[in-house]
Amino acid sequence: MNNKFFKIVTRYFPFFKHVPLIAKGYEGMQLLMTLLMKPQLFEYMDKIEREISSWPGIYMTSHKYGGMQFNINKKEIGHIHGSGILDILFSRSIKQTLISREIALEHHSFKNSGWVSFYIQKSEDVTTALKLFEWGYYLKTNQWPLNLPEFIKEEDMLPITKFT
Amino acid sequence: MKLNVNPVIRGMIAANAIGLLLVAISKWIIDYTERNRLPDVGGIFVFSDFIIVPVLMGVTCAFFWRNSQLTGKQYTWNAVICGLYGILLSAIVLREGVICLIIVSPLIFGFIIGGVSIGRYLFKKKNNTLNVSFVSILFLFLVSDSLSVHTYDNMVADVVTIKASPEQVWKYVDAYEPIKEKPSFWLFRVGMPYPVQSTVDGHYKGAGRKCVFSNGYVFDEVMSVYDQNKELTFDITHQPRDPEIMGHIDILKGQFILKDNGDGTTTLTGNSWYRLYIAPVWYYDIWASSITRNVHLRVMEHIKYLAEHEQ
Repeated sequence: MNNKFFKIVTRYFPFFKHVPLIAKGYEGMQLLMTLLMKPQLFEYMDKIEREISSWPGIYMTSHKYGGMQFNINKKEIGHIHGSGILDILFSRSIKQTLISREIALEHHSFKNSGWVSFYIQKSEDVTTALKLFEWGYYLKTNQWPLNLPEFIKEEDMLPITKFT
Repeated sequence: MKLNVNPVIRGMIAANAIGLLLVAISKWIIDYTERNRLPDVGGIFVFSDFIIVPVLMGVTCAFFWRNSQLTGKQYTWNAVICGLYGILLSAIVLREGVICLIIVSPLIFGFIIGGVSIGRYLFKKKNNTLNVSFVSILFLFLVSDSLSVHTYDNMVADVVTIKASPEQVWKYVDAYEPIKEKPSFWLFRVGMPYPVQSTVDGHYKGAGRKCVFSNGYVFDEVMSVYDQNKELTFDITHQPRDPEIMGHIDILKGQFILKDNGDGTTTLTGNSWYRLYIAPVWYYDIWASSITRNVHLRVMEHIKYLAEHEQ
């Protein structure tokens, strides 16, 4: 329900994100809803945060539209919203590969970009989320291999969590 | 003697102390403009009281919690507890009622948690220049917002089709017997006053009308348009100054329009004009229009029942 609400707000009220602090308040309400309705999601998000923040050079900031943002070399790798939606920026070709292999979905707002979304809903999703961040980390630190299919091993991946 | 208070508790105490101080500053600015006959800012509470203040409270909490190794879940829970203390203080110090606190609580919780999220990463970066700038900008925004005009006028309309002629419906439009049915709207059920009866001094233009609410409040009105079987418009001349809701909204005018559908039915339209003295409008107008619509519907459904029952 929290994710559906998030989709409705971002689709029909996109102008709110331009009003100072509104996105932060909305993120706060999302976190509150997660706390009350799906508290286990915090365990997954905390686990991801602990793991990624231990990687060399990583630092975290508050995302401009709300959420925890992971950065390296003054560049954003991706961010996680309070409802458990993870957004990562890849190139468009990598994005197409990730979507065709059902690893990630189209970004919830920016369709014509390299952004992908992934919905963290159960404990198994933590592994996939960490893999996505790892690839984003390699990309931003120029460690990205030339050929994505060779790099992504099928056994590393878990089936995508469909948006429900 | 040094008190060894848990940093989480210290953060909550400091946040609420700062919150109270900022609201006091904001209210002093508004009172000052009124006392000195400066341009009327119109607001009782402004945008910043519900957004900037909770954000700064959240940032204050995060400052005190910065070395506590809290998880995201603990940050959020503690922010909720801090918000609960803030709401409790609002009830005691600002004498806000239960309905007002129910309406305002999503904003308070959302922006305190949002402020904690901002501060959580802000203070980790150990960039004091940025931290001071951020807090200073928010404070300046609070002051400038308190000096800005905050009134907002709106009108809401509702339509009901009644299986009766306009003549039959008209009998119950200006005055009606007490509504005995219990309210269905959830805010009315938790204690918000709702309309129960309307009385008139006479059936002509200029006559007085009274709308009585469940807690005994009376709205005094004068009928400015009395076009039999077609239109009744009334101006509100006096309304109760209830600290719960009525200090934040004024009902300006009401209207009933009857339209003969030519098939034995009548379309009854209820219009109300109101002015909000509270911001942010985009949030409070959702509540104001919803409450006004439910006042309309309670009265209009009663008129419908009376007119159809007579048949």
